[in-house]
Amino acid sequence: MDGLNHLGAALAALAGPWQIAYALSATLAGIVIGLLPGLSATLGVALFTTLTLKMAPADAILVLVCVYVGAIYGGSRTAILLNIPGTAANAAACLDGHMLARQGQAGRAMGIATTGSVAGSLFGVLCLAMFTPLLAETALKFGAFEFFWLGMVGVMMSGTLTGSNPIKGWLMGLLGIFVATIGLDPVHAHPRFTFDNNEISGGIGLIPALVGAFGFAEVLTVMSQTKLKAVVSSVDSVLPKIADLLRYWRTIIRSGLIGVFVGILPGVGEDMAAWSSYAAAKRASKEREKFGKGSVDGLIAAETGDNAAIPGALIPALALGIPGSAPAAVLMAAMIIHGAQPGPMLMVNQPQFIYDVVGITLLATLGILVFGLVLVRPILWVLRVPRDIIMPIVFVLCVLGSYSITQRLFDVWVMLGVGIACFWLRRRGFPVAPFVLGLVLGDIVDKSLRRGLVLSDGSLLPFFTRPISAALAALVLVMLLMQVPMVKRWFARRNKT
Amino acid sequence: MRRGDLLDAGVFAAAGAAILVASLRMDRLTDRGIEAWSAPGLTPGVVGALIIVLSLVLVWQAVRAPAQAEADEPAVPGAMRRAGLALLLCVVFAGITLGHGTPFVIEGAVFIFVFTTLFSWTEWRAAGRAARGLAQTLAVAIAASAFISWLFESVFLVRLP
Repeated sequence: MDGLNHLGAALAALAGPWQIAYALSATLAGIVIGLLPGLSATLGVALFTTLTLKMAPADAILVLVCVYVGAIYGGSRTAILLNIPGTAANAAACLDGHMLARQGQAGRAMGIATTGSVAGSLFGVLCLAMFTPLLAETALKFGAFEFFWLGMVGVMMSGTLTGSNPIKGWLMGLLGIFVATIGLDPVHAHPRFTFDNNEISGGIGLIPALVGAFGFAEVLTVMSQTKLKAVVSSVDSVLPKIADLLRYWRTIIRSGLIGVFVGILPGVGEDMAAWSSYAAAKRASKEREKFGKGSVDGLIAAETGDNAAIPGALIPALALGIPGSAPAAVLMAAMIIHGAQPGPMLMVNQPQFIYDVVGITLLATLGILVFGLVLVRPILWVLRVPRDIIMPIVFVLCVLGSYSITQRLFDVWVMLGVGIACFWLRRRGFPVAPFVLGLVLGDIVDKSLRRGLVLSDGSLLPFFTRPISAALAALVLVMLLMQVPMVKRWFARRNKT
Repeated sequence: MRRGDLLDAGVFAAAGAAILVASLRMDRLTDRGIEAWSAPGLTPGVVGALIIVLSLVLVWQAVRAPAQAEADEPAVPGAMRRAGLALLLCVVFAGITLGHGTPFVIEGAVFIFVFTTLFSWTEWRAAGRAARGLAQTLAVAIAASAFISWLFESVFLVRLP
């Protein structure tokens, strides 16, 4: 009953004209960001975090969630029309969305993508409202030992599931944890790796580092690629057919569930959700041969899955303080900047906040429905702007965005340094998402490890014998063992038989 | 054998060793009556050790791997040259010229103009519209820099560098 009251209050607060204006314009900005190849949802949320610093917290979070939802949806436009995913989350949509466009059904494909995205997002919002309070209540039983393992599980899972080599992913995660320890130690305020420099004593700012990793590194990556000419073909009607929706209701529900589940997994993100939903739909389909050749089922699965992952990623972020994706990590950092305390105590101290986020995600979903059906052709004009103009403007925003948080040039240098490092490491096959998770979770891991050891007087036993700790430690062990060649071969033989 | 991974593993191992050594040499604050288990160097020390271990695993993987193409992404002609030029322009703008007295609106406009011109010049000349390209880019650069500066100074109340 309390939940319904909180949700009602959240929706009432969002019904104001300014809130609706913020929601619509932020969703549109997010769609434009998602539309442009090279700009990611993470960059969009990071840049808008710096732009909304001076706004009221409720309005700032509203803008950021709408940018996040809009960006994940917006990438499906270029995926369908140009076979180039606007964001990594829309790569699966390229397979069938673009084929439908080549068959003269671009409008139909975009209508289906819009409907799938809205359905996935609505399903995810329902799960967000139902499961976040439950998970937060469970997390009240967590102590330092459990939070240590939770942080490690987050970093390791991100390293395992992103990129092609988990060892490289884990190295990046550990690098992120190390970078998070630079500055004054949070327990005793003792300087660590500061080289007696006052600027470094303040630590490595999370937002400048994220803007560097996902902004500057992307600018360098995009400029290193050859230019692509945007050929925007004519677009037929985008209104989805009801028959399409009713025929694929099983796909929508299955992809919604997969999307939410994958979204909850720390650091994995919307692209994995899209691919997992696509693969599941293909396995379950009676028309498997159509996948990759213009399958409506495949397109709906991909878009439903990736949008359901957005609220999914917010569930652990709000309930545990462990983000489910890179954009959720930035969003969580923004929430902390604006005074919210994501984690188990959120349900105790600020229960209204969870339902505010539910309401905001609902509003953003309505925004993508409106813009997805009404503004198809005008939005595509953005694709005609050459990247040689867009990228330097994006970089100027990255510079000012990094600078504006504490008005120190040091943060700009952090953005530059992290951007260069991430650009180079990505080219060497090291994924960036685990680094981001490590950066975000490093503080939790550091404090929990030390607090736990002090409580146990140096004994490691509680880390392995407390029930929840033991389960999380076992998960870490499984992830480690799965990389041992002998174990991999055994599982491969077992799957064959 | 993957030589690229060997080099990467070496760099990470060196970094891990440096982190571990620095952590071991960090003050343990025992003179303040603080427990050894909450020493500031504990977490970075553990992280450094784990980085060394994983680097060794990467070396082992690289040595056992069959000989194959080194690149993790397919080679694109001129990719590093373009990336290098973009990097140079960005570092000169944000790392060197910023914050030395020139109004940001001018620096931003110059950066956008120079960046776009250098990357688009060949295309403009081939299409015979160099003058038009320059004029358009100048207009966009001034407008974009002016708008962004106004947005941050007047709306977000940020004092620009």
